[in-house]
Amino acid sequence: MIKYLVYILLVAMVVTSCKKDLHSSVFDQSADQRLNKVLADYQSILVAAPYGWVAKVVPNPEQNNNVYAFWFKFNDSNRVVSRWQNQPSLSSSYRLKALQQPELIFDTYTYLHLLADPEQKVPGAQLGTGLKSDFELEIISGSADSFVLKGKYNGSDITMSRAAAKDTSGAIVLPGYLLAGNYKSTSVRTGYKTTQAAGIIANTWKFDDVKAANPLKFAGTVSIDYSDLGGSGWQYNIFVKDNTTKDVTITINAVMQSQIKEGSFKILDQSYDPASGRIYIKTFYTNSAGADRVNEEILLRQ
Amino acid sequence: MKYLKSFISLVIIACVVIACNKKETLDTNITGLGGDSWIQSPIDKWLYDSMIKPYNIEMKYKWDQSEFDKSLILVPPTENTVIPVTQDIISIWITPYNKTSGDSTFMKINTPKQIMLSGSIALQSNGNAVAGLAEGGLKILLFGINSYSRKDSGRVADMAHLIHHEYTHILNQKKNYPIAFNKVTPDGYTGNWSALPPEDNSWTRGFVTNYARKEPGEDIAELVSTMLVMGRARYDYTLYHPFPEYPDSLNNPTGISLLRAKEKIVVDYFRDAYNLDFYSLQTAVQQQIYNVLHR
Repeated sequence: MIKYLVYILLVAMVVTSCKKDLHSSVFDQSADQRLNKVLADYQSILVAAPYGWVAKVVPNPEQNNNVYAFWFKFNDSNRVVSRWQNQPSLSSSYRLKALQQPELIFDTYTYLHLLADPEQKVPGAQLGTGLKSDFELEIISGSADSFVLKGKYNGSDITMSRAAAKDTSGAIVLPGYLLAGNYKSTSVRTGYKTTQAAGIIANTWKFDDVKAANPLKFAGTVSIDYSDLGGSGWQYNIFVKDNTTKDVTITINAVMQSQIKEGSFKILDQSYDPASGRIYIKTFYTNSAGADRVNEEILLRQ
Repeated sequence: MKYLKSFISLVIIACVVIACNKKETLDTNITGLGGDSWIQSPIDKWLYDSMIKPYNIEMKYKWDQSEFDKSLILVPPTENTVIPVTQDIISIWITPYNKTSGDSTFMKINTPKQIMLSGSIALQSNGNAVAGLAEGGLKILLFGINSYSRKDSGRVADMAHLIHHEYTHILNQKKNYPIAFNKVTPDGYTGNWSALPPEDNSWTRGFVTNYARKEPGEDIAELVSTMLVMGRARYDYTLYHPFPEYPDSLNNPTGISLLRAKEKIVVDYFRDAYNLDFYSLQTAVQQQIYNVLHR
């Protein structure tokens, strides 16, 4: 009996020992080959945009609300042309690389690196850390119209959207920020001696100049200096949903909030005309010394 | 029958043995082997002809975080600084050694195999900025090249000091310097080197810079690079007149004799370990710094 068992075992071994497809993968290609294909596909999408890409960069998004706009045009030989603010276009290199994730790396210096430069190249940058921005970017997703990227070391949020012909020169316009741009501002700020109800005006401040409304990381929201106090870092944050609405949402930024009497800010009146780009704001707050302030401001789109 | 059984058993055993004797072809193309690749630019071609072909030195300028300490916050170099910096490094570092040793053989053998460039300076958490690092005899890291200018004599001297300092480490890592060097000023080394009061004059204690007081390895690198970049005449003058505002430091016999003792060890080390005449090297470096500034 034992003998037969041994024979059966041996025959079974002979039959099964040659089963070769144990090693074959469920995929046609190896992981590396598939990864390279993903990179090649991303590259061809990047290159295919005829007018390049408009990039919205939010450095250090956990502590920062500001947004920086760039324009990039990639070619198929690892070169990228960058535009930023009113600087001349600049050519540098990029490459796509598979690390933990597929990555887009701006591997020689261009405008994007100004934000990350530890030698303080932009306002607000700290010596040694810059704005905590990124130029080594993980590709979260990518399609013919948009890329979602995440900074590898500082978690910067970067989205790139396919640009149109008008984006290849002039101001770089981020999509989705209808209010962004320059405004002619006329404002009168009234300082009451004590309360507005008491009615004794101690001083008035007039401001008449051009201000920029800059995109913030919150979709559709821009920041613009509060009356004549932009130098103190005081700003309105203004949000508009779309081009058909006449309602804007106005709040104040954290700097202003922390320097006035808590919870005293309120909007007395506001209106927005999408056709002419005229914003009217009348707001109120009580300062830390208990005196009331009213600001009436007209912003006219340039 | 008995034989038949044995025969069948043998055949089956043979089958088992042979069945797994599968020949594998080991010519699989391993994806990604050979490192990063990109379309070669004119800069890459220039670097290949000027550094890789003659000296097998890879001048790496494209961003690669893995080359740096991850705690450092850096940015890559601006492309248009790469070639000028490399040209000047060749002039103030490689050319003098070639001239002194007779031909390029010495540098072909003894150069580090990689120089990694960073655009920005490397600020450390203690506030000190590191200008360069040398690792394991094979690699030099240079920081802050985006602000380099060959028209600025201070920057050229700093770059010369840096590359000769780091290269001294590389030479020391290949052949150790005499242990006697450590015993010239054994009490002068301090972890507090970066916060010494101005009246604690390093020259009068046998050191050319405060950084030299960190440890003997940095001491010899600072001494070699200072002597090469200053040149013999200016070095000798400085030795006797280190700090005019501190009368004690003028013709300070202790400092002079300690530094002369170190100088002798350095000169002997270059001769014995590498068969190089240090004073000829000093002259050649001076000529080349002049050439770079008048390029």
